[in-house]
Amino acid sequence: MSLSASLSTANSSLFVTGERTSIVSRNIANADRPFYSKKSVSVVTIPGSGVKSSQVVRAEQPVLFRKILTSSAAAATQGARLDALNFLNGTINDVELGGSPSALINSFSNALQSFSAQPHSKLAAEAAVRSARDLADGLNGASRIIQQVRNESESGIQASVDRVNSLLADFKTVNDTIVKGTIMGSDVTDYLDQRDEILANLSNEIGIRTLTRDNGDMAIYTDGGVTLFDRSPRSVEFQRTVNLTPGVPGNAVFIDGVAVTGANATMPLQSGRLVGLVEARDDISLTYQAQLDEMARVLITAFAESDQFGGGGPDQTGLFTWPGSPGVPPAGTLISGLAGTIKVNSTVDPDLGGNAVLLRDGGINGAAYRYNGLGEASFTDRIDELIGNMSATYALDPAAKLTAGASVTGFAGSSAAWLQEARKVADDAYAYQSTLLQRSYESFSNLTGVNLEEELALMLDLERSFQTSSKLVGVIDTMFTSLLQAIR
Amino acid sequence: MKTTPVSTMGLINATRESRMNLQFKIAEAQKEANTGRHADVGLSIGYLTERTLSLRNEMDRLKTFKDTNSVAASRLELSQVQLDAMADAASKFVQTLQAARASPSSAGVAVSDAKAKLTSLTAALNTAVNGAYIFSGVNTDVRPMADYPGSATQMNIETSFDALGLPENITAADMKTFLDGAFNDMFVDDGNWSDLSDASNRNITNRITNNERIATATNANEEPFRLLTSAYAMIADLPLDRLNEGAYLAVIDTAMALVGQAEAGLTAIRASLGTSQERIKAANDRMDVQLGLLNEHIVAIEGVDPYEAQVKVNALLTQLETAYALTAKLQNLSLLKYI
Repeated sequence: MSLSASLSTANSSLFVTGERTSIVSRNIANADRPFYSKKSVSVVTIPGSGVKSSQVVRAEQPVLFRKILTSSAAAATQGARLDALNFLNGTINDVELGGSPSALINSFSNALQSFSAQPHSKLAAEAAVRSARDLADGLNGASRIIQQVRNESESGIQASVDRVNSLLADFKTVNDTIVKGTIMGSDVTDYLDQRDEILANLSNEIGIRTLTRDNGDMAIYTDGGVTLFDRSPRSVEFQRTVNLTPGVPGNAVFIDGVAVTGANATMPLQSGRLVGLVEARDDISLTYQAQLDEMARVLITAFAESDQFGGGGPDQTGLFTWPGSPGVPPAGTLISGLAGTIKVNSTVDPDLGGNAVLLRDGGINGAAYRYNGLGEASFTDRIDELIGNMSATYALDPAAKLTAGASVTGFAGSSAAWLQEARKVADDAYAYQSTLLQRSYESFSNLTGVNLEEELALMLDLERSFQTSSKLVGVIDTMFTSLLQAIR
Repeated sequence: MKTTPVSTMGLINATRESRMNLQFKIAEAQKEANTGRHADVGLSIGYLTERTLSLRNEMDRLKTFKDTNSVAASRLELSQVQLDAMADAASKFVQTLQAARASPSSAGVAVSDAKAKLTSLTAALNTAVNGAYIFSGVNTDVRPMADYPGSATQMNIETSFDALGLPENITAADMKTFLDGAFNDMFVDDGNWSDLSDASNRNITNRITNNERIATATNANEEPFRLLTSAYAMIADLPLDRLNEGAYLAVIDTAMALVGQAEAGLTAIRASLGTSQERIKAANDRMDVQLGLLNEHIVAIEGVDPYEAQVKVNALLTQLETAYALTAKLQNLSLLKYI
């Protein structure tokens, strides 16, 4: 009976070769899919009766994959932060261009100096007031940019939350299929690849940790420890504010009813785009806004007028006004959104029918506040006092996160330095994290991905094996024929 | 034997990333080579931005000071020119007076000379630049000197002179008393002088550096101007031809003394304005040096070595070419070609 045994062995070889060829073609077809892992079947010898293929196996690198998850979350955090900082850099740009608040304050101070050299000149007065208006407009514009960054971050958070929810829903479908397939013993390797891809996308939005359990089931937790998926997806919730109030942090993101961002988060998220966006919205933007607001407040205070006739009247806002005018803002206290509302007093602005010479004489708030009592055309005391005020030290609110006291010129420089330094740090961190991600992915892909040449070589191998087995079947057939003829 | 596997994806990605990276770097290096500064200054220097901003601000401030100093300097120069002319006229007037003293018959020359000099003194004190009177003190919008003829001062002098009686009968002693007393009062007393002058006693001052403030003009209330006006008015207005010799000589001598005193005063004022000019020049020189230094500091912080940047561009271009060649080679490297 050994002839029929040979036949069945050759048959099994043909069958296994066919199966392996189908795996090779699957590999080739998916060679350019980023998270496709190379599949293979191991061939098992059945003692005495040929070969059979065992289960399909996928190339796995769990450690490297975890590395990809953490570094992609970290890179996404830094990326979101860097985007916001680069956008905010629009308020400063190249220092050479002179568009930064610091440069605007300085050119206003220079305009005052020119005015002080020719105090009788109405043109010099108007130039100084226009320069003041450029400064106020500059602060307003910078404030708008910050607001834009915040609103864009807010919609970014919404988009990120939506994506997490839809990814979790996809995850459930795939995960259920895997569990069912594993119990029934069918080939689930392609589903495992799909699940990896979903996890990689998810880690872009939120830092995650995974836990594999019986039957290939997987649970997902955030890097802060909140359950994201355990048999069923947990809901990620966020109440979006359409227009954020300056100086007030936005709403927190909730997962499974637990706050994961903001000051009241008990289990805060550590990484992912969501974290970067929340930081851009609440931390970076609010600090920068506070710095600009303090600049505006110091300017308003520095240019306020005091009672010159001993009537004991309170100080009143002069060249610069705010919604609380004519009252002077309280010293050392942040007023959120002030940089967006600071204006040049219309009584002084020549383009609004005002009299720019009041900058020299005082008296914006009426005769009692007039400094130039004699009406001298070359009166410089007031202008000098104002120039002096610009370099005088004022107490600053700690929310601005810079020095406790500084002059408005010095403060504006520190603020620019703060922003650029934050940008530099974020850029370095982003470069580092994304390189790390690239390298991890590269090693992961090298170890689990498909190499076309290798598949091609394997195919040649299989072709030979198939040819030989076929030949064998033919030979056995001939042998049977000759045997049967002999018997006849 | 252990081999390190390479996936086709990994191979393609690696070359693609290196190409992208190189292209980005080339764009940056090219910008640096062209401008001599970092491609993104803020990003490259971080917290040093504060330093370069303050250096740039300081530079702008110094430039502003230089501009405003030139305004002050031109005012001082003009003041000097006018003072110079006044002193010149005064010393010529002394000669005229000497001639008139020697021969009373030529007094007419002195009278017309005095009238002309009085007019030109008033005109000089009313010099204006850019709509600002330079001898007005801080009252630059007000014309400092009124014309003497027809002024209240002239009327008052006329009244008090008439009280002395007929000019022919005035004794030398009476004349002396009158000139030193009532006449002199019209010019020396601030209340009376204000009939002629609307100038402020406070001089125009300028900040020439951050903490130097200097006077950059004088004003028409200074003593020499009063003395000169009174000397010219004395000769121009008193009826010299009708005075007896004693009184005539008393007038001429008083006028000469006044002019002499005024000349000394003018010199003092010119010296003090000269000091201001000197200080402005010194400040400007100092600021020029500072400007140069500041610029060097800014370049040191913001700049890149343009030669190095150029070399970098060349090296990167070579690298990119290699990357392209490698990509093409890899593309050709396939088993398919050999089966």
